[in-house]
Amino acid sequence: MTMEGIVRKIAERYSRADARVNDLDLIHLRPYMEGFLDPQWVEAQLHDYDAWASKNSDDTLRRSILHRPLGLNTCGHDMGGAILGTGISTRPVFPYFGGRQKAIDHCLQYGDP
Amino acid sequence: MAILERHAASSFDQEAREYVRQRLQDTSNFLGAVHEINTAAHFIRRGANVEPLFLKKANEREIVLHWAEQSIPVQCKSKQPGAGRLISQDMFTTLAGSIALDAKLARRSVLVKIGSTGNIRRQDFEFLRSCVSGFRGRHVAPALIQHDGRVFTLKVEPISGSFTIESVKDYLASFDFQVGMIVGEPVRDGTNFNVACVIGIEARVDDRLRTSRSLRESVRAAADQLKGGPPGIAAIHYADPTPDFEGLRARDEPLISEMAKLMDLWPQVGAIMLSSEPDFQLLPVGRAGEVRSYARESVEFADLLGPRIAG
Repeated sequence: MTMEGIVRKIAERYSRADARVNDLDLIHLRPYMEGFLDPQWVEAQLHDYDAWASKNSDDTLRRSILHRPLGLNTCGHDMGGAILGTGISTRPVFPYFGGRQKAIDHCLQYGDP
Repeated sequence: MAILERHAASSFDQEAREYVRQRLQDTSNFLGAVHEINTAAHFIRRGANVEPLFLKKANEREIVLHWAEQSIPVQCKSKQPGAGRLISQDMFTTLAGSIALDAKLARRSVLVKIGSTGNIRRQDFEFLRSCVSGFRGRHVAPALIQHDGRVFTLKVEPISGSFTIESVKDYLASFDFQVGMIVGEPVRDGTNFNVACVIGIEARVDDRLRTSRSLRESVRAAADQLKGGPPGIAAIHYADPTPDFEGLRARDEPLISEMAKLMDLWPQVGAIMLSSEPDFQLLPVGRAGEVRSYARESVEFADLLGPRIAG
């Protein structure tokens, strides 16, 4: 199945009111969203964040409080968290913004209470 | 985004994709774009057919829902971080995290109380951080510090103690901060955390009037755009976590009364949907952001809104 087909299937599943995110779907949603946003732009955002974090934060703060610089466009970084939080990336797990938990919360932000 | 693209594929031409990409990459614009996409996906999940007009440039109408033979316009308003508050959650998190990092590097466990009667601005950030970092000795009373013509109070003192995942919320609440953060280090048995740092903003000003006015402005802006059409929905999203929307009201009467008055004032607003980001500092598993809806009794699409307060 093509990437488009897989993403379409995932989107259909999440279109139900009672849907819950399956972590493994993030493997397929990564290239989808990277392609939408522009992979080079995402990489540049993550690179800038790395530079800031190496001087101003540490792993614990990034993981636990989503520590990030002021005025950051978190769009690319939320996606970075989604990607990296799965633990599937070649990058270390959880270096960005709460990783998997944030990704899941954002995926279904309007989840029924 | 995938949900929206799946259900509104015909609206996702190359021009629309480029427009959305530009908005998502724009720091001042992406919160609004994300809110519109989330709102569209929310109503798709509630069973509506969605026309995402926001995918086209310069379209005043943002979303039209088709549901139960009705066409329902939706106008989205995104409240930027800090809207109607002394300090945005984003800025507080960055400030408190930086203070916690400085304390950790200095091997200090500290309680930091910052007092302010006005907005804490970006340009105050480094000043406050360096004041806390350089603060030494014991002070009974908070120190008065000035920056750029404004006065803050600051108290820094050693702290010790422990908490658990279950007790952390109450522990933090015991400090009575307007906004606060606690950083702990896990102890060996994995159930308790030793307090490493507690940081909070103390504010004694009553800013309910300001937050209420800010909400009213957003409803009015949505009402202006809904004018001339059938009753629609004002979908207002707070970028700052808002655990209890009742905190947005100006008076002691419940928020539903204020929302009802606004809908009476602007009859083209048939419902108001409030939502907010989740609070990632207090991380119970799987907690999504809050959503609450207020609908006029006469509208026939109340069931579409999801969780709502009956009025």
